[in-house]
Amino acid sequence: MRYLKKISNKLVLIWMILFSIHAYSIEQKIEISDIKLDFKEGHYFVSYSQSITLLSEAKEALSKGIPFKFLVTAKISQKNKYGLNSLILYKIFYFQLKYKSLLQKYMVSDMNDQKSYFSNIDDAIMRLSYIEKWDIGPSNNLKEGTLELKAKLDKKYLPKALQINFNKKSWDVESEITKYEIGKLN
Amino acid sequence: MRYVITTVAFIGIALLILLAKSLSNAELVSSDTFRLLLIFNIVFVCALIVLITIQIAKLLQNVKKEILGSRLTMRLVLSFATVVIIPVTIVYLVSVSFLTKSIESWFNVQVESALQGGLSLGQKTLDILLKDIELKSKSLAYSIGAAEESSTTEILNDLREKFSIQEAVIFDSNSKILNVSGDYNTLPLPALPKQEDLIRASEGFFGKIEEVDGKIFMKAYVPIPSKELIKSEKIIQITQPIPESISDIALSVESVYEDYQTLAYSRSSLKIIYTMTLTLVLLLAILSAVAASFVISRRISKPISLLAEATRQIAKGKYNKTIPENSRDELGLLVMSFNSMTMKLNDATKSSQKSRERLEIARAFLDKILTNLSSGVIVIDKDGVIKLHNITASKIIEFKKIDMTNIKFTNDISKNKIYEPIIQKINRIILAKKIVKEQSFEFNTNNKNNEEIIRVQITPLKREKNISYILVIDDITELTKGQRNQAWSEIARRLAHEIKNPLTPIQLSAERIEHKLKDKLSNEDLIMLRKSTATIVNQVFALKTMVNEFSEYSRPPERKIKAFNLFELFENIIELYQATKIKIILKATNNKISIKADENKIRQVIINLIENAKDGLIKENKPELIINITDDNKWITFIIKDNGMGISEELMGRIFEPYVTSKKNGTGLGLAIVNKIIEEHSGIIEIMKNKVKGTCVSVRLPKL
Repeated sequence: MRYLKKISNKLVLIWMILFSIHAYSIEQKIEISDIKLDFKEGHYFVSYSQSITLLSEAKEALSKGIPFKFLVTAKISQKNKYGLNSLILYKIFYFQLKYKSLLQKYMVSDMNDQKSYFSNIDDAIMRLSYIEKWDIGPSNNLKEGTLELKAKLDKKYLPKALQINFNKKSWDVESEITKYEIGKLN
Repeated sequence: MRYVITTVAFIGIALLILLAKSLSNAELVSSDTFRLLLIFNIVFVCALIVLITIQIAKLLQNVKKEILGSRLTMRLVLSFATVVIIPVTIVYLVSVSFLTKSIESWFNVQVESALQGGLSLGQKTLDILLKDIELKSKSLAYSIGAAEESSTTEILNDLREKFSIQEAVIFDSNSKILNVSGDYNTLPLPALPKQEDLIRASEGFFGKIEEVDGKIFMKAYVPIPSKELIKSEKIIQITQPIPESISDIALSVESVYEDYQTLAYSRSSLKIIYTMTLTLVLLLAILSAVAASFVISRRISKPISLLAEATRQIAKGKYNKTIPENSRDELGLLVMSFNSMTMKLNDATKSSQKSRERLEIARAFLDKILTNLSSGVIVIDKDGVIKLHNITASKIIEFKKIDMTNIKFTNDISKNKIYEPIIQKINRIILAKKIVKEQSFEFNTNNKNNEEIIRVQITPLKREKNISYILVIDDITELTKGQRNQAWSEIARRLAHEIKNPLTPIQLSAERIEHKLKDKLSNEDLIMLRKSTATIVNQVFALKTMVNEFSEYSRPPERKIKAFNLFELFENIIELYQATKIKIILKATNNKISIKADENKIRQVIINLIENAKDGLIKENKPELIINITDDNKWITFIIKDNGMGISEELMGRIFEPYVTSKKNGTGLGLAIVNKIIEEHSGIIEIMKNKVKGTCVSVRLPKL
């Protein structure tokens, strides 16, 4: 017991360090899934699910009125006869998450600038969990190709001081490049 | 280096400007670019530190090596750096403090409370307005619900106008529009309500405030009560904009509040960024200033270093050192003056060197003349100190040392005391200081039984107040001898001419007298006559011999040079003396000693010398004559030694003079003729006494 008492302080310290590492390891990120690509009237439409995870620091920044503007990039490429990827379609859109202090609500603007208001941030994030039929542009109906989707927090719209904050991880909210192989679409 | 520093300074300033701009203008520099710029600046600062460290190391190395100007450069660099670092550091500290305080001052409780209050006021106003809409919408819903269905539209329009509502729309549970009321000349058609809004409204009331295109709208959803007391299926939607005056102010307060919150949230980041930027500015300023101080210090110290180096070179005697004139300032003027001075100094040195060279040439020429001069020359100053003399003078006076310059001209300078009278006489003349013109005298000495005649000529040389004396000393012994010989030759020639002519008639007359009278005279008289005529004939013969010798002595030099074996010549001559009791020993290095000379004359020399030796050996019991012939590269020498009575000390010095003889019947011309023949062959003859007894004659003849 004496020994335990002696090392208790050290154990607490180790526990704190491990907890901090664990806490830090919970990354804020965007996960894209369930991608669906529709071809209709000469246009491609993308639908997908996304799960946005924000750390408390980001949530606090949001609650202070700092707008979060997310950039979604969609690229359709196809291998040419030389085996190289040629870009067929490229489209971006922004959606925004912002706390309106006057209204005391979180405002979500979608790709069509349709605004929705939510009392809490989770509901607001939930609103962005499914993007439906995003027109990414006109094209031929491709027999094969690859759709690449990537969503990220566009830091250039953050206040300058936060943009150049040296704790870079705090504002690195982004997804992996998620690929979707295009087969024959009907 | 200066180009590097200038470039570095420009880059640094550009980076700093970009960094400063990036803090304020998001469009110009993105956050990623800012980081890149920051890294560039840090790298740049590190590069500057490395550059300056190298420069400091080099400077310290130069100081250690004691390279001219390095200490001055170090002092200047230190001074410049101190002048820059102290104020810039103070400004930096004040700026950081000021900046921190300024940032903190943005965020005080009063401002935050005021903004919070303003925002709350806005929110309350909106709440009140929403409440008002709630009341109006409920009143409207009850009125419509209580009225007949046919009058719904009328009541809706009346109440909408009465309540000053912008738009009122009645939906059924499927969001189907049943009635609308509004000014659709100015308004767009009503938007369909969201399903969740209708669901919420079914609870009794649902109101929401939305911001659309910078305007705030209130929307209220109230179910219309039904007469059948069943759940209402109709919902009325009231849309009412917030008055612009209130909306603008509320939105403005919200915007300011959000800005404030954003700033407050990022204040620590701001502090870090500004402090870092200021630190970078400080470092760049200090490092650039230090780097520039190196350039400036070197620029300032360079002409001084060059001057110092040039002065050192001049001190070493290199007067052609010039420094490039790069500036027009005081230093430039100094350099210009220095160059002018060195140029003049160089010209003067060259001129002086030329003069010295000329002087050296003249001196060498004079030395050569003096050295090769047969006369001895001594220059004595007014105090009797020798200032200059040549080798001939030291030989004639027999100086104790070869160089007697700066030594008093006294008796001590000569090894030989016989010159003391000459030295004393010279000193008397000089010290009397009465000599004005050239003065000369001759002095006869007897040096080792050799008569020497020395002539001294004293010439005063006046230069300003100083007076020097040039002594020209000639050994005129040989000259005098020559003159004497010439005089004797002339006398001999005349005597021979005058005496030889009457000798033959005298001889013939005497013989004729004898012949004529021999038969007429008695025996006694005949004997006396014959004796007398014999005496006359003998004396005539003697006179003829003497006259022939005179003729020989006075004859002009005429030689028939040919090669012959000297050893053979000696052998032939020695054979003539085989009958005598003299023991003649001939020694030679070999028996073939070839010499080019007039054989008859050399024969005459050898016979004469042997005859002289023979005369000296008459009284000797064991007369002996040793002849030794040697041959080296230049000379053929033969030495004739006898053990006879030798030559007296008195005669030794004058033995080669005509008419000097120890023999009773000698003419005194034999050795004079021998000497003359040897001189004609460019040879040397010496006569000396043997250590024990007798005489030794050495003859050296050059190998032609």
